[in-house]
Amino acid sequence: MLKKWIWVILSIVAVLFAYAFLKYRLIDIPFLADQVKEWLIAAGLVLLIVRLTRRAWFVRTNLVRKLHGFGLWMLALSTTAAMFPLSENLRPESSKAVQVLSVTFFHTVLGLGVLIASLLLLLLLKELVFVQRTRRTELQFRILLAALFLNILFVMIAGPEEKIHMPASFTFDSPNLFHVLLVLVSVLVGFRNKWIHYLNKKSKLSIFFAGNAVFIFFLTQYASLPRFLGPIGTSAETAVSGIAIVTAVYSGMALAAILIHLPSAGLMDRKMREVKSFQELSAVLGSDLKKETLVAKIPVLANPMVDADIAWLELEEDGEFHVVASYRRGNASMDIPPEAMRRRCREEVLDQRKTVLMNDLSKCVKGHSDVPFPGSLLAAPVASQTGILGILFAMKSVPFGFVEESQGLFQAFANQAAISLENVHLVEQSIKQQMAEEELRVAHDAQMRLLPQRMPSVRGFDIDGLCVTANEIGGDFYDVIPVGSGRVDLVIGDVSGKGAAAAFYMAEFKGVIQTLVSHFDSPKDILTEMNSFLRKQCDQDMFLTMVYAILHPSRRTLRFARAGHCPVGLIRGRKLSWLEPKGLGLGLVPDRLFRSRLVETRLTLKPEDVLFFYTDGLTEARNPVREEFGEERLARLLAEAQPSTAQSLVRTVADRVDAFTENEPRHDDITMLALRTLPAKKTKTG
Amino acid sequence: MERFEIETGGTHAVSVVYLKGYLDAHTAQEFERALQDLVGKEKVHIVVNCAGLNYISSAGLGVFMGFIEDVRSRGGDIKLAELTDKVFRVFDLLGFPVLFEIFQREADAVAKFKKP
Repeated sequence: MLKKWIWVILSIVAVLFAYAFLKYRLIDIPFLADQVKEWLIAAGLVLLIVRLTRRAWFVRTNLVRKLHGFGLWMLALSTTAAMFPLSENLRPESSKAVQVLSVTFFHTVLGLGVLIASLLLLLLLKELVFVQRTRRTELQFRILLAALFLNILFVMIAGPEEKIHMPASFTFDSPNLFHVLLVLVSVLVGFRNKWIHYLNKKSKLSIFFAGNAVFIFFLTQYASLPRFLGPIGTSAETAVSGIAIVTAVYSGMALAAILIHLPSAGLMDRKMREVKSFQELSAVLGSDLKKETLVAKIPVLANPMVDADIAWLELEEDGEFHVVASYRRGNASMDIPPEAMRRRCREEVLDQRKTVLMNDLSKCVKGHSDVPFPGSLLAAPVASQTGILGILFAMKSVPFGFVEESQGLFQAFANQAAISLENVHLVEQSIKQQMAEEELRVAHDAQMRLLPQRMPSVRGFDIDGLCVTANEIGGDFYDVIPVGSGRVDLVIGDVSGKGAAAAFYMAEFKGVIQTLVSHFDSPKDILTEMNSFLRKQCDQDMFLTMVYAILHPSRRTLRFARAGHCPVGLIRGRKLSWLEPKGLGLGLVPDRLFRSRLVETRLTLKPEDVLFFYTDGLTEARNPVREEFGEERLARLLAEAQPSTAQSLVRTVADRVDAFTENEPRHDDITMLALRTLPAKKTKTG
Repeated sequence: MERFEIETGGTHAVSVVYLKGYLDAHTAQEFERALQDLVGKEKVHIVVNCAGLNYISSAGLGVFMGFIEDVRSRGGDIKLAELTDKVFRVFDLLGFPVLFEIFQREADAVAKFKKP
């Protein structure tokens, strides 16, 4: 940037000094005729102007500063002209040395200054003309330059007598075609003042008044500007007078345009605020994904957009609308109207499903004459594809406070707000899902740790269990507890419900059972105690099914009770029988009723008998055509299995279920527990 | 996702809830809301018609348990009607017939409310 400037100034200085020296024969180059020198400087000037205007200057300067610059240079030029009123003063009269000094100072330094200032004016003017440029703007500016150059060319050909006569009092002394052309093109370019739209009301006012002062001063002085360049040459003189005319026309037209725009300046400001509100909302959307902050910001942005006294947002939750955020303009003395009135407005919006404008609330809200509420109201549905999320309100204390045109904008804003809210909702959901997955993983781990890690070895028996977990926690569990003194307890259970809560209950029940085993020695007692615990400690809709069995290995006797759980399969020889003694699920009914309905079964096991416990996840496992594995299929499988070990039985069943369900996702845990009496001979060796 | 539908009908005196499809941990909430709705309106004479119900999980059964005491304390009842064999088996294993009156036909359940 700095380099560019140095280049510009150096070239201007070089051209002008060269010219001045040539002109006043400070360096005598005899073979160069005056005429040729004039032509050379004219060509240099044109090249300079072309070169300068091709580049973009003041790229990083904002509009107001450009305008200030423009005005200041106009002021500087006018002041210079006013300070040196008579061109005669500049004429050299005394000795050669003084002549040379005064010539170099007045004719070169002042001339140089005026030329530089004029060129800067031209560049600044170009920047203003080019605000929101189009192809046409560029073309018009080129035509303007061409008109300027034509004038220079004309003066060079026709001689100094035909130089532009500055119309000091808006009259042309002796107009020629090219002067008229320049003025006409200037008028054309004068219409390129879109930058006025970007000034706010305050700037418009200040620029209008300050600009007028500068403009009038400039008009009184600009006619005498070219004479500074006169001694240098007619081409420079013409260039400066051309630029001065263009500047005068352009600034005059711009000031007139500002005057025209002044009454609507407030409106323009509002439009700008509207645009800004929109931009801010998108910014909030991008940066803030917290619902609370977003919700709070919506009325804050909506309020200035429609110039309301108060704005508020109501969001729907379970069919009810609640005010979640509001914003009141600093000096407004309004409150959110009472619920009865808001309901009436809401109904209107929900009915029409678009923005509603109520110009006079006292007439619109009938039946609420007890609350004489003057004012006007705008209400827009905040709707996404899934439905109406809420309603955005804006209110003014005066009737007819809003214009019809605001409706579309207000609705657009509400739509944008809806998108933002929806986005926030989606993000929240995805975070929730992540948390749920994490919770699931933790619960899975907990569930696996609750199951017995190793089967205790029981003399004369072979026990094995298996739990195939579902995608979700199913709440299944089993346990084999060596109690001591020739007793082993087997338990299998299924907690109602799913998820982490089920896994949590599982852990709790395991603890409760561990405590109960040492105090009670009948399945009926233990289950009744469990029922009592569930009734007291757990939710009403939560229950548990369980089979509790107590095995005395030495006597080969087994007592068990079934609390609402799946039946127990007894495989004896090649026959399967389902044992299904009566019993209610745990936690369903009070202890007395529970106990009275619970039947304890007593079995004496024979060698190679197998008892098979399972949870409903096994029989309810489904294949791709929604068919359940079912009790019958299980019964056939168990009867034909002829297992050599408990482990092989649970494996076989698990494999069969796997083959049956194919790739269907598992909905529930599948849990099995098998107890096999070893053949008689083995008990001796074992 | 399994399909589950729920419809509420019946007369002013007796509400009938029709369950269709798979009532599991995911769809149980829908059933819960329907019952909540009825209880909220003090409509506590409820018949649940399970003719279209293909499957009920423990979470689904839990919904019945969650409401029965509340409904009975308000002087109402939940009666079950038209259960398929498979669904009845689940209710039966758990011992639900002790807790709930189960009818072959919806009309019988409704009639039971009228003359207890």
